[in-house]
Amino acid sequence: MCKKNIVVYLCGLSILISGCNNEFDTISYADPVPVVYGILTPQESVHSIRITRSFIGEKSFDEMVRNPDSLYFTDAKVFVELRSGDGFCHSRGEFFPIEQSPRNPGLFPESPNYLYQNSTLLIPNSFYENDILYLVFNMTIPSLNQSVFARTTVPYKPKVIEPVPGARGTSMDLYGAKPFYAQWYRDTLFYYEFIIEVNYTNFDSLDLPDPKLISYRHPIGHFAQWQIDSIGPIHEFLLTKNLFFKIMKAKTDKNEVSYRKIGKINFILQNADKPWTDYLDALEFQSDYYTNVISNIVNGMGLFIAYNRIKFEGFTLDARSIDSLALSQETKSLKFVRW
Amino acid sequence: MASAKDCSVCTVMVLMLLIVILLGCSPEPPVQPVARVSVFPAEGDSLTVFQMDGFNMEDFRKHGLTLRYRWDTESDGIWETPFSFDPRYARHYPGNGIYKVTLEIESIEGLRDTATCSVIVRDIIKDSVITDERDGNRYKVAYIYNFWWMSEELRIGYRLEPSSLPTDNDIPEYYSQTGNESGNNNYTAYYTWNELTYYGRDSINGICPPGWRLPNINDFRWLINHKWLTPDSKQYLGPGGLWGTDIKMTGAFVFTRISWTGQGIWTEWWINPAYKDRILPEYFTAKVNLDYRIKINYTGNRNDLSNYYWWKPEWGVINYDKLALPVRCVKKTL
Repeated sequence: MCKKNIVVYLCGLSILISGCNNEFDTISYADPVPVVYGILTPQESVHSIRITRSFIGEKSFDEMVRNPDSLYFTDAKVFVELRSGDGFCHSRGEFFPIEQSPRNPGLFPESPNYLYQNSTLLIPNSFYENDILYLVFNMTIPSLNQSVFARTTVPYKPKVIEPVPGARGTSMDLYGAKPFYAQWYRDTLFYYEFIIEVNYTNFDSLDLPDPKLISYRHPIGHFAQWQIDSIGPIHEFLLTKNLFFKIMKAKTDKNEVSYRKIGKINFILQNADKPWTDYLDALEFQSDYYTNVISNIVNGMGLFIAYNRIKFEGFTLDARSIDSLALSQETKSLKFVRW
Repeated sequence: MASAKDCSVCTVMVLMLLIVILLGCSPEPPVQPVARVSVFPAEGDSLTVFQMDGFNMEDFRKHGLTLRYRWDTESDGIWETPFSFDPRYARHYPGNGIYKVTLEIESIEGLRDTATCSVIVRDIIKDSVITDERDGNRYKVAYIYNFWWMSEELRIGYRLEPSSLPTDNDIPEYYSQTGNESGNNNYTAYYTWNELTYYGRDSINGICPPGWRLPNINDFRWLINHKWLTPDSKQYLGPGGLWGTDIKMTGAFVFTRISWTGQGIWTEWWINPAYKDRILPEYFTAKVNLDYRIKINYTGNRNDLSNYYWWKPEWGVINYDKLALPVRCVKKTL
């Protein structure tokens, strides 16, 4: 009985051992994946798109990453088109690789550092009629017999009701009812956000100034309730004292300073297609919701988006608000001064 | 004994329960996926990359993200992609033609469905020159999708003195500010509607070159629907613009009053149809203002007098019977 058992066990063991193969390929070859990052706006006259590629090979990573052929497609033809909702092509601009200033030393070679650029494509700021206009990214790579596509909606310049566009910034009273208040007509096609820029200056013990800028992004809830007037839905943004202090506390640099002085405050209303918001949210919050890399590129990876913006510049804090920033328990440690 | 009996009863009950459970639970029948395919744009040229999209909400609700997609973008039986979970694909076609795109989807249970759609590849916008065989005049023309449009105003026939009236003599007669005496072809000819249509005998082709015709409302409506919708329209429609239409502000000639108007401010072309409503004949025209917006103008609509801000009171009742306008002919292909 015992011998019989041993034979059975040995047979089983030999099957297990001979069945396990620990040799496998560490490299699974695949075509390179185009990686496209293009963030365009009508407010620029030269449009730039970063186009690179993934790479894989038998050489070491360090060796391959230093080879420009690993990073760029040498035969890519790149166009951006303006197309109406039904696909009609209004115009098409070709993008060419233009060498930029060298990269900072690091993993990737300092040069060549290519950006695909075009200075003739005219992205409109506004339309006469409520028609959709798309910006279409279009790339063909003959060596791979591959095409890459992306589409984004061209955003209108936000139609602001308040403050009057172009009006000069005022001195804001954070204790007032509306320190900064904006209203605009909202197009449900687009996602809106306010960017609050706060300029301030650090001074060290020798009184040497070191200018700094806080840039805080405040997304506007896409599905939030909004008012509607005869022209369309209206959305709004209100800067409150609490929000302002929260921004200052979270975003002021942690350098050792003698004191700080607050400067001009700017507000930027920006709108873009949904992937832009998804992308920024994924970068900022690392939410579980965003388990995949945000990409709107077909046959590739990356982001192709157009945004539009309107800027309200030159706001300051009034004396009472600066006092509060300098002396309140919450922000005292930031060492802002009143003078 | 009693315990052994109980045990066997128990065993039977357990077995029966097991049988009931096994027979009672039948798996849900697999749901057949339904393939749908869309392509953007549906029409393009050899530089266009077409996006094919097999995603549809109904399948997503039933199958979640479990469907797999593969594409045969020329419907030649060769699949360009293996089955993948990405419902989108993109490609360009180097040669002109009509291509049939086939999408096949497969559910997790192995059920499949296919759908097809067409992609048209052809030259979209191109410039060319035609020669009017009747008088040898050459015209720049622009091809915009299915249509050839003249990029210059038609100029055929004989120039009338501004003080003369046209006559029905089968010879097109036009007014012009500069004329072509010195062999200069850079002038605009202004025709009355009657001269343009051989006094109503041919309001389809009129005096256009053979194979060409007078534009109608639908031609312009198409152009308006696809026109550049921004304040930068001049970049597309104006002289040297991207569409090759070279629109210049030619204005009109009020021949009954020997008065030129609108030069450099707007342009207006005759378009079909024209007809007599009650007493006055009424016309359709296409009008382009300085901002290069194209608008179809119906002269019978006198409620909107803002259209006729340029009409002077001394010219009397607004009536396009008193006007000579230029015309641009069109030709449809395919």
